[in-house]
Amino acid sequence: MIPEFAIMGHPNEGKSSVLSTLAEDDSVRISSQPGETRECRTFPVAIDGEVIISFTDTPGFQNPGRMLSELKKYSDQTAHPLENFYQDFKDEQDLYQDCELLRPLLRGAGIIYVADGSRPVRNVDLAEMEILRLSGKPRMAILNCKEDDRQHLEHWKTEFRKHFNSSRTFNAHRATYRERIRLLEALKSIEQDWQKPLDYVVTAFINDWESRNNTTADIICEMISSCLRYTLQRTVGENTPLEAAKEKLFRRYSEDIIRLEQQHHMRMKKLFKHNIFDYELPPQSILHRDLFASETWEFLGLKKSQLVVAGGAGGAALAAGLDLAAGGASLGLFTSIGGALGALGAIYGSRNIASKIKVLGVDAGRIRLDIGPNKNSQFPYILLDRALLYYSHIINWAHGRRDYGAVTEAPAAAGLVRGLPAAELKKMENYFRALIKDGDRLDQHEKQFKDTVLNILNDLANTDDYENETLS
Amino acid sequence: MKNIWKFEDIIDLEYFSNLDRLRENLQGEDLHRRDRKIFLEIERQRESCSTSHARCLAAWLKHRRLAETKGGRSFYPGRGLGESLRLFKWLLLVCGVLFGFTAGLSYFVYTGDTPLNVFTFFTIFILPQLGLIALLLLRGGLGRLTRQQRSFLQKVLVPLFQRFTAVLKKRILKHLGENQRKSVNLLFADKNSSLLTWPLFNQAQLFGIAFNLGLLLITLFKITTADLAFGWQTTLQVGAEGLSSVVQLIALPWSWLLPDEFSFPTLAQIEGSRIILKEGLHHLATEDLTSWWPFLLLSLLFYGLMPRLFLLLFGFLAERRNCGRFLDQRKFHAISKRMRTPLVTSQAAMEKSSDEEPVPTEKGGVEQKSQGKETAEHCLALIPDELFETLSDEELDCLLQPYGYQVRSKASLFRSYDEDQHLLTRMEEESNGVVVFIEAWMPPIHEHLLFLEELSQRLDGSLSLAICLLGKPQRDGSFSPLARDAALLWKEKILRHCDSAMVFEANAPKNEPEGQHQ
Repeated sequence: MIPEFAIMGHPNEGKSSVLSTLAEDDSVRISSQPGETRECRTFPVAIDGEVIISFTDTPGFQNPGRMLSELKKYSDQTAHPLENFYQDFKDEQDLYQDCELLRPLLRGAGIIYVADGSRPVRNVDLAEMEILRLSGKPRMAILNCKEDDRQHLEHWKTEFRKHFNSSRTFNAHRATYRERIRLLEALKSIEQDWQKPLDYVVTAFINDWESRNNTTADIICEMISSCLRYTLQRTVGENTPLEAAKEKLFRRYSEDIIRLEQQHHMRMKKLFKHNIFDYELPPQSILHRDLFASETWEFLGLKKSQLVVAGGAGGAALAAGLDLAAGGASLGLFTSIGGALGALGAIYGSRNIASKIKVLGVDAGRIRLDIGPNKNSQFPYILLDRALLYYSHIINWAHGRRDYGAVTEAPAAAGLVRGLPAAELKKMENYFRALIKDGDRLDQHEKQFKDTVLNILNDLANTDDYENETLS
Repeated sequence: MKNIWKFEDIIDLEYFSNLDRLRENLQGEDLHRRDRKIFLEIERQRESCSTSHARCLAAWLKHRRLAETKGGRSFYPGRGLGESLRLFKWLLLVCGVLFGFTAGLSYFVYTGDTPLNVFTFFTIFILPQLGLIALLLLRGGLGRLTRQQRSFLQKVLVPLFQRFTAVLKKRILKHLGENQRKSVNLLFADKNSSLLTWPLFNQAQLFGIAFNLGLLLITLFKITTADLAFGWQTTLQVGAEGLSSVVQLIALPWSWLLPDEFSFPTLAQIEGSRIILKEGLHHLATEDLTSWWPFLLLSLLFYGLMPRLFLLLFGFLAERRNCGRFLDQRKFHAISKRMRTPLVTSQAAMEKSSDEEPVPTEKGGVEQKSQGKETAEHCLALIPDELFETLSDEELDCLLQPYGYQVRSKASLFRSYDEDQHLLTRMEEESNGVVVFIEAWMPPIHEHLLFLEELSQRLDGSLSLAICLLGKPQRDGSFSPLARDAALLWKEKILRHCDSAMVFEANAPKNEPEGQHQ
């Protein structure tokens, strides 16, 4: 029999949020209105199409007092009070939801009882716990604290110890991948027979996560490669004002790079199964700034001293502005473009080369303008930093969370790459150089770069920011 | 599929990988699902005893090739290129044999006037070949080729081969879909030409082998069917002894294996085959003039044919190694990783759309009643069990006074269903109005609403029923203000179950509009 876990509890305690986070399914309807879940909904955990375990979302208890009263009567007469209760009351309209929530238990499901630990314990809660105890099913309790009030936790823990095999805290809004794994691990303790399938699921979850990180590292490699190597050409008539044409070309180039970055970020979001996660980033996140915004270049990427250490910038490269190779064109033109585009100004301010626009010659009255690839030594680090920050937001956004407007994470003061050791930066630099020069051993450098990125991703995923301890 | 990768397999692998990237409808989980299915299928069929990266890719390629075959028609650029290269190979083989044959034919022209000069044979057929090989080694060609850098050979042969395939490519592309076309163009745009280095290197060796074979054949043919005489001549004052030493040195690779008379001409034979034009040929012995041919044949074999054979073998090994290195690319690892990683799904089937209850609004149709009363009405206060001990009479009066109630008696509520039922039966004896305190920060549940409904029925309109909504109790004993949504929800629910009840919020702000209570 496939182990099944019914998520049960009082209405509006966050059962659906817990399930949404546990199953990484943001299609679960979660509402601030209590009683949204009226029917049981099963979430099968399938590995290669074979269902190994399943979780079932249940409606909240509507008549716990009456149920307990009836069940006590049955328990004096029969060994299966739940079955008798269900048979006798399944057609009674007032008890419809209570009978519905018993259905998984009648199939042999284990229980995950969810309670909001930030509120006081009430008699209805005790009645619910007693009903579940009378069911005799393997059961575990989860404290999903919806608010920061912790004064009632001890009382909850005490009651849980009386009624459940085990209990944990699990914040459905902040649970990370590791916390999900820990919860699954904890479920093993409530029923020995389910240990093997749960082991299988935990291993598959870990492999799946590894695979996602691996794919994310691939996406980051692809993004940096496509942004760095991106080139744009335009042919203009001999009589077209050259400066305007260059400005237009640069604008188009910047927009294309931004679009490329967004496309890759979207792929990352999709990979982590965020489908309705529209509010992409906290409002104060540096990622809200444009790729070419001055704040981005100030807070992300490497410090100038690190750039030199990484070997990415010689003095000439740093000192040079936007190099325009047009006949007669000078840095004055660059300055005017920079004035027109705040982005360009920021780049100029950081004393880096954003790109090179080359005039490749006049041919039969036509002038060909060329821009890219981007040889700015800071640019790939900025891209990488933004991708890592984006990843960090994605993995820490629980699927059960819906309060898109209430994100309160502190913004990152600086990017992540600044904290990397010089040896790792050197590897990165080798890859970026090989990309631009299309040099030999690109594959080897790419592999080393990917490994470095993968290590960073794993570190980010394994960071425990939130407390989730075993209660008993 | 055998685990020997050819360049054509790599190109097809690259092609299908590009195709996946270009198909926008195929992303993430879809790819994982498809690739995992392939893996499970090979596991089931036990096609593969191990799940190494290369074996996974081999199975993937096999399945992808099959899957892309539609209605018996298929297009595999790698295989196509391979076939072109095989065609090219046969062309080179035929050309090589013909070149060798015709070159030999033009050399072995003996009219009886002057013996064939062995120096000319060496200069035309052996030294250039040795020179080319030496050049290849000297330039570090082999080492450089191994590191994927463009060699001279590559610079010459790759454009040549690309021209050769350009026509084929043009013809094929117009029959393909957009993504297939893009994927093929990516193949040609990519740095995959280094993949062709070793196949083309091997083609060059095959040409060399064919050339030497053609030359050997014509040499043997001529020796067998014609009367040939070989001699040597020089203007330099080189004696036969000196030449004999050089000849013995040249013959070192085979002289240890064969008897001396077959390995190289003796000093006397060398002396006897020297051509001095002013002295004529009549004094040269036929035996000496024919003594050179085994040496020449063996030179051709050991310095022309065998190095090419060794280079061909090396080329084959290097091709395999090169292909293996191509397999080590990130994009190919992503494929095998997808295949080997179990597909985990935990999503539920699409939810049925249920009839949603309307969200309560301020104007919930609740009848409004006036707030104040001239004289306080005595009442029975029904207090939730959890608050029964903590709420003192003074506090109760304080809460109810603004609404014209004074607590005369109180009873505990919601301790258990049976006790609540018992309480309801006692209501028939009640002579005062009833005020029910509700912890409205908790969501309304059916059980509590049914209780209120029944209570209302029991009071039968003769006694007043009021419901006081409480916020969450605080540490200091006060109640937090009730959230607006929670208050509205309770009012809405109460209206449905007992519309005659008066509802008010404890600790409601003083400036609260009339609609806060009924």
